[in-house]
Parts: sequence; structure tokens; C-alpha cells
Amino acid sequence: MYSCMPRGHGTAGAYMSSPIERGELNGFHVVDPDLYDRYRAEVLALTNSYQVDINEFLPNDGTRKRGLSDAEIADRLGLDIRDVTEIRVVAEHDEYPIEEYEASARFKDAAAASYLEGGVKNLYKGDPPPTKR
Amino acid sequence: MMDELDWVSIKSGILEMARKRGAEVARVGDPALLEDAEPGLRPSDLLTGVKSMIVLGGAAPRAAEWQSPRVEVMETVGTADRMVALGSSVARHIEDTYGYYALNVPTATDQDDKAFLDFKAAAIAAGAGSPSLAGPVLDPTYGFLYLTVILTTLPLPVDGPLQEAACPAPQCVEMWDEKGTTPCMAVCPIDDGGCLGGEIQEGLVIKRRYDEDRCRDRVYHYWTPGYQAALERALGEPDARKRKMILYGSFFTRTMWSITYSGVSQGQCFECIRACPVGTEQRVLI
Repeated sequence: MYSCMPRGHGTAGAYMSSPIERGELNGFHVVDPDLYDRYRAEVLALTNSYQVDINEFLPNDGTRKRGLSDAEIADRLGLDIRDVTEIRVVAEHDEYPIEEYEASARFKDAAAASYLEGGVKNLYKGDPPPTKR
Repeated sequence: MMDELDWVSIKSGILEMARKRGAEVARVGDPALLEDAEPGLRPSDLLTGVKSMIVLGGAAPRAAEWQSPRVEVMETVGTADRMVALGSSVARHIEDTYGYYALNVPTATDQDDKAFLDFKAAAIAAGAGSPSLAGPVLDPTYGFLYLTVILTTLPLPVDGPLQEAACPAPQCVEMWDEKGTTPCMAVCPIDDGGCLGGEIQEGLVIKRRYDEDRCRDRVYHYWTPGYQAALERALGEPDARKRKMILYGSFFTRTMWSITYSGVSQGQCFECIRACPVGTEQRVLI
């Protein structure tokens, strides 16, 4: 299956560093940053990261789409599956900066306070106050 | 001898046991319905010869937790671990009693930072809820529940998906007709810094959009993603004194506490579900 695909699968050789540089011999595969920058957007677009009509509401007649597996993305982009996995995992965590966490705290405080004060008729409108934390 | 077993009675006994031990919802789904899922997230990838998929839902936050003015309460108590323990107990019961394989699917993260199984799809296939605009599977009575899935070679009769979806609720259809939004989308709009988008047409959800990355950062706020983000900031800070302020500061400290408290799924954002009318009765007491 996909987990057994041979190393070096794909055609992105220009971005590949040597197996030693890539950490393969140590069992700790780190994607090349240039390869990451080159394919980050393309890989994310094929995953579940930002979903448009990837959902169970749609009929299973071909209308319903799903995010691709890393093996399927590797095939489509001609990359090594392990590079695809690393690009995806890094990119998913790299999508929003740390400031997003501060915004998240303010959002939750404001949303909960608004709802507790007035229910659905008083939902948070997207202008969070300074965080309480 | 196994051919003589009464599968209906066995199923009834297993599900009743799960309910007595805390499951609000206990159903059986056909694992074959998940064969169109992404490779690697299919039941047959985890257990060869799987015949049935038992889905248990429960351990929702308590009403008082929903009502607490301190969001930090919900950020801390929302966890799947009670359902995980129940699932393990049911799996052990099946293997010990009937001699069939039973695997409680790990709720933790697989090697590629993915789930072991599409839990939502499993719950929907079993009728342990239906999909929602907000994202979580919703039980018509209880709303949001934590899930656990037991895959087994025991050939139990399946329940199948719910005939009537919990989402969109009638109140949401009404709100959509009036305002062009729903409670969950209004509180977390994808086009205005949130995670959720979509439309309702003739009572059905269409054109759903979902920003999984932002949602994860909120749900796992003080957890692995937050830890990684803060650590990156600390490692990139050349001033040792400032670095210390980051590493010993409140965000990093709370994140470390949160990570080390729990080895299973932990939810830290509930605002779309707080506004959701499905299961409201369970969240409001006197």
C-alpha cells in the first residue's frame, strides 16, 4: 500500500538533498525548506485543511469530495510521499501565526460572554474586547 | 457453535452494557460504508476482517460547565478519555465473552498527524448522530457528544444512518431564511476570522466551507499546536531575557500543563456548539 512506496518516488529531484542531509539514515525525515516553500500551497489545497464541499451532507454519487491522502498527493505532484507528509504536517501548523492564539482567547471569552448574556439573539459579532486572561 | 449465536441478543447486550456504563448513544454501523474514505482512515486498515463498527457517544460537558462564565472550565474538562475507557472495556468484553477480535480505535494521533479513523464518518454510518454545519456529529437529543469506535470481527446486525438529520435544526432554517446565517456560522464566520461557512437550501446544507487549521488552533489552543508556535517563537528569540519571558510566561506554562494532563483528545473551543439549538435541553437546568 502507500506506506510501502519506494523512497525517492517522484520527480522533484531538483529540490531533493542527499539522504544523509534529509535525515533518512537516522529515521528522522525533515523536509527541505525550499521544497516546503515550493509545494506548501499546492499540498494544502489537496488536503482537508480548507474544506469546500468536503462533507457528509452531499450525496455519495461523485459530488462528495474528500481530501486526498498523502500517497495520492505524492502521485499527483510527483513528490516523495514522506516529503508530502512533512509538508502537510508543517503547513497545517504553520497556517496561522502565534498571534492567532491570542485572538482565539479573546474570541472565546467574547463569544461565551455574549451567549450567556443573551443567547442566540445576542451572539458575538466579531469585535472582541481585550482578553481577560 | 458460533453459528447458533443470537446476534440480535448479543448486540442488545453489548449496547445495553455500554449504556449502563455511561454511553448516551450506542449504535452499530457497517464498516463497509467507510471504504470510500481516504486510504489509511478505513476500518479495514486497522482490523483485518472487521465486520461491525460499534459507535458510542457520551461524556458531553455537564450543564454547569456550559453555563460557567469562565471559558477556561470548558477548555479544561472537555475530553474524550471517559469514552475511550468505556470503549476499551466493551472491546475487552467482546474478546473475553465471544472470542472475536475487538479493537477500540485510538483517539490519539496517528504517525502522520492524522486520526486513526474518520470518527465522524463512523458515527454517521452507525446513526450515532448526523453531520453538522458546525463540524461535530450531532445526536438529535443530546447534541454534541464525545465518541469512541470499537471495530470487531463479531458480525452484529447494523443500525445504519439516521433517517432524519439533526442539522439544520428548524430554528436554524428559520434564522437562515431571515438573516442568511445560522447560530454557528454567525458566531464563527469563515469570512470574518472564523471557521464555518455554508448555505441552507430547501432545508439542506450546501456549499459548506470549513477552515480546519484555524479550528484546530482554537480547539487545541493550549495544546500541541500552541506549544509548537510558542516554542518556535522562543527558539527564534535571540535575547535570552526575552526568551525566558516566553518560556516561563502564562501561555507557555498553561500549554505545558494542558499537554501533560491528558494523552487523549481534548477540546478547548465550544462556541459553535454553545450556540447550536440541538441538545440545548441538556445544557440548561435551573
